Amino acid sequence: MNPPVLARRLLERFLPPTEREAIIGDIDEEFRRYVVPSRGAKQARFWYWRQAILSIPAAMELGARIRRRPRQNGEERRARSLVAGMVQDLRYAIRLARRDPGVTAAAVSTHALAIAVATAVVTLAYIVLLRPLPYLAPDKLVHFFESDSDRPRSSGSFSHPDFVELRARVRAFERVSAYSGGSRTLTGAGIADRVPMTEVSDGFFETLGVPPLHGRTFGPVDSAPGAPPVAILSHGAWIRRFGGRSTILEDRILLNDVPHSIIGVMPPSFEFALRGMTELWLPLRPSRPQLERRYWHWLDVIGRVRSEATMEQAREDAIALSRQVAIDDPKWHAAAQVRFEPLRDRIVGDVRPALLALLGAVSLMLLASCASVTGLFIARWSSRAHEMGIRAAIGASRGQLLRQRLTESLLIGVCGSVLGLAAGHWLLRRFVASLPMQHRMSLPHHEALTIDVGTAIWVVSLSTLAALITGALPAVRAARMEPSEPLQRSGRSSSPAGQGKARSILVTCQVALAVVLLVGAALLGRSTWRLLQVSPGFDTEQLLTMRVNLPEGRYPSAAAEREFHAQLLDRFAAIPGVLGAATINQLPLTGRGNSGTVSFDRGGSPGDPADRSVAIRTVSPNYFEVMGIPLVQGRKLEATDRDSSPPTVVVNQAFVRRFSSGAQLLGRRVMLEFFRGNPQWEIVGTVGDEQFEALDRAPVPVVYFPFAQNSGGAFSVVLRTAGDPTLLAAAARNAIADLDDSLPLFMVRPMEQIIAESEPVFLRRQVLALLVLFGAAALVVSASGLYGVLAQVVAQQRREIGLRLALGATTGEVARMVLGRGLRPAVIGLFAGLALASLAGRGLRTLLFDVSAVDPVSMGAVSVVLAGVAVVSCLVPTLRALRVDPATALKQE
Amino acid sequence: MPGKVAYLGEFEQVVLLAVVRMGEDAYGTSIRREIEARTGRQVTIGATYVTLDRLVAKGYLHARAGPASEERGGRAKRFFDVTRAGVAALEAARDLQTRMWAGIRLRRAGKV
Repeated sequence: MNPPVLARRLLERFLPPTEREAIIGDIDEEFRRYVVPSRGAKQARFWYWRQAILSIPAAMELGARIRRRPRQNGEERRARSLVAGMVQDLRYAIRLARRDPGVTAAAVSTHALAIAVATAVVTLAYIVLLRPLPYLAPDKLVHFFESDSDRPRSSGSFSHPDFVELRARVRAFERVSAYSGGSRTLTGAGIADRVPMTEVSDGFFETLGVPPLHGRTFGPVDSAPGAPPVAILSHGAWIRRFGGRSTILEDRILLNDVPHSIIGVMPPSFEFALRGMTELWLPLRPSRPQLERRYWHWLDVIGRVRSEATMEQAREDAIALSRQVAIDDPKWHAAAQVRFEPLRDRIVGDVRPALLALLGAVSLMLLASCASVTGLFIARWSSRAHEMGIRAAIGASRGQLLRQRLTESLLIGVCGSVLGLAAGHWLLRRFVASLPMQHRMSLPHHEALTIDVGTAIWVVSLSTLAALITGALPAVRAARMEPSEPLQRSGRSSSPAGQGKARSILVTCQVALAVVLLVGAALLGRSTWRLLQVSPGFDTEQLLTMRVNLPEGRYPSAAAEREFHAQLLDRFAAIPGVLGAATINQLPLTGRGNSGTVSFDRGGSPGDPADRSVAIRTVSPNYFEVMGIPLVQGRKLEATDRDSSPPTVVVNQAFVRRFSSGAQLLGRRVMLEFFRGNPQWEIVGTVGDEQFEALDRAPVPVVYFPFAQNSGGAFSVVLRTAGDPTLLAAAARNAIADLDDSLPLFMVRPMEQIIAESEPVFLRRQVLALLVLFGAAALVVSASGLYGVLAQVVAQQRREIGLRLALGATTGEVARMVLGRGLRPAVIGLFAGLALASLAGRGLRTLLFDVSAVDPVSMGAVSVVLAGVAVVSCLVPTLRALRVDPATALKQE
Repeated sequence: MPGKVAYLGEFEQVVLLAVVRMGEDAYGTSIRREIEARTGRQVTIGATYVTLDRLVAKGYLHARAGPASEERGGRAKRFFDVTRAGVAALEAARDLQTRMWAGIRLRRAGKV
């Protein structure tokens, strides 16, 4: 028979916590032992209710009595169980936290902010850099690259003959597959749309070890010439474009007006970050020239190392292959090297430095927040030193006092972690959502960039530990203090000199950390600025770009392409607000694109064909005018350079630098293997360099062909606009729809967006934004720390200041004395921070552009900002010191 | 400080005497039951504790933690012992009564 729970709860509510155990225990015992046996259950319950209700006034009186008492005596405390003690500590901590809401809020929010950014960055870094790729045995997967003296690592692609040889020769590999990206115009499913696709060799999905969700993958037969066209859908495309219908495998879709059978759908978990946007997978079907030409590097190659083979064996295989390729094809591959890197490195190689820089910044941020929370605790505890002294004097053991203090910091830690975790979750989502699509899709696990339970547990335990350590340092210090020490000092709020020193040291650390973060931000800020200062060689403002792709079916001949091209330019030029319209086969700053090997008609060609690699661009005659690229020599391309007139090209300055060697290039004829050496093209002019790869690279030699003499079905349009380029997107779409309403106009975006989203600018901007945030937060925290220390110094030294003033010290002398004390930690922190920053700057090196890791301008600017902030935060306490009235200050003691 | 001891209130005296009576086994329940049994008065556990607490605060009683039991829902007992001051206070109260009662014979009917 159990006592009525409700009655017990009622009484418990009114009883002071210390009395609950004995009283409830008594009443329960009496109920069970005496009342129930003698009066029966019903009567007993009535008895219990009566006891409970009638005891309420007494319970309240007990509560009042106990509240009036200062503390329980030591003996009784010790008698209580450890758990009850902890509960008591917690209640006390909560009460203190409420009594001091400002300090509590500051500590919790500082902690929460640091945890939030740490959670977000650590989660991102973990998922991107460490979580295994979603493939079978992902550590066995590699990405090949072929390099030679001219082709930098970043392209590293293979020609089809190279790929076939690679596949046949490397024995340490279970499978080797090639892929190549592009896009197709999809018609028939909703409106015509340009869809990113990837062509893959057979066995591609098997190399990754991911089976399709529905249907089958490509076999060798699908790549055979003349085989029926087939396609595999990504899960996203299947759901979005075809409503996830189950009959999809019986369907045909139109790609560039050609019907394709859908033979498979990939599972939702499947991703291939290197072609992250891909919605369609098509079998690789090389054209005849692609099958034959060894110098046409257009394939990327992945491989799976045999499970029993080591990476070392695989590497030896690749080296042997390199030698063989060089022997087999001395013309194109004399210096070729076939190498590979883990697939993950290929995927995350570019973001790794940015993520590592962020991880570093987050660690500093965490340290800074720990330092500031520690400072807050020291301040709080030093103001309670008197109380602690009394508690120690009346019998509280050091252990108990220590436990009490640790409970306080733990409370802050747990509250901060929970808030921080929630904020971190939100922050990460916001961050991921803010990433431009092409960057997000190029990250591994891009569909799952969220905090999982494991991370959450990890973050909470780590930050709780951090809070404990943060609290432990000042708590141990305080616990070591003699209880009599604070009691002997007169003022209740005065604190030992040692704690002032500890706070100074903390503030010094905070300043140093803030300096490191700010210098990092300054270095990146200057890098980004310098990068944007780099002229890409054309006027980037008020330029709208878009891409057009003519299906071969409807535009079968070069003549048809040229006709459409001419009409299109006329239409675009007629749009109100458009100052000029031109085309180019591949836009600047979107990659190296087509390249070929150039040779000259006379005067010889430099030895290694690889050294004669140039980028190939096909432009409309007015391209240079529209882009604002200056003519340096000769003439630009003209409308008169037609199909029927002599073949002409224009080259850029980089081309001149590479090939002229003092001799005149104008009028010479060049040949390109690309066109099988025929015809010979006469160089009629040279123009300024424009950057095709990325802002942080050197410009490459370029040969510009006139569209009329080298037309193609795929090109980009650039519109120079009078106002905001984005406003003309609709007009551009209408213009093209007038000509051919089944042509999708895609990737419509201003040039400035292309630059902002280009990897070198984008990555630096992201890191920069966070560093600025961290740096500013650290600066605020250290400013408040400086203020706190100095305010304390002034409060403690009122008497000394008063005495000095009384003895005739001028206000200037007093101001110097006070300011000197406040600024000392700032100055030491500043120098320590600059020293640390010059080390940390090296970690940022890969992100720096045209700025030294120990850039004096950045460091100087940070020093000035910090000095300013330090002086401002010291100003108020200093002024307060100057207002000290000697008479009252001396009387107070 | 005999003689200077603050006088005990009536219920205080009752509670203190109950503690003495229960000896080693003086805790909330036993004290309350002892009082109810001897005085016939209904006393709540709360009221008992208020007085016990006051007596502890005055130094007449000493509280110590005792064992828990299943009947008590695992809650520890709090035992009370009379201190030397408590004994002195009781003696003083009895002396006072004895002295005041000495030679008194009450008439059944009062003057009023």
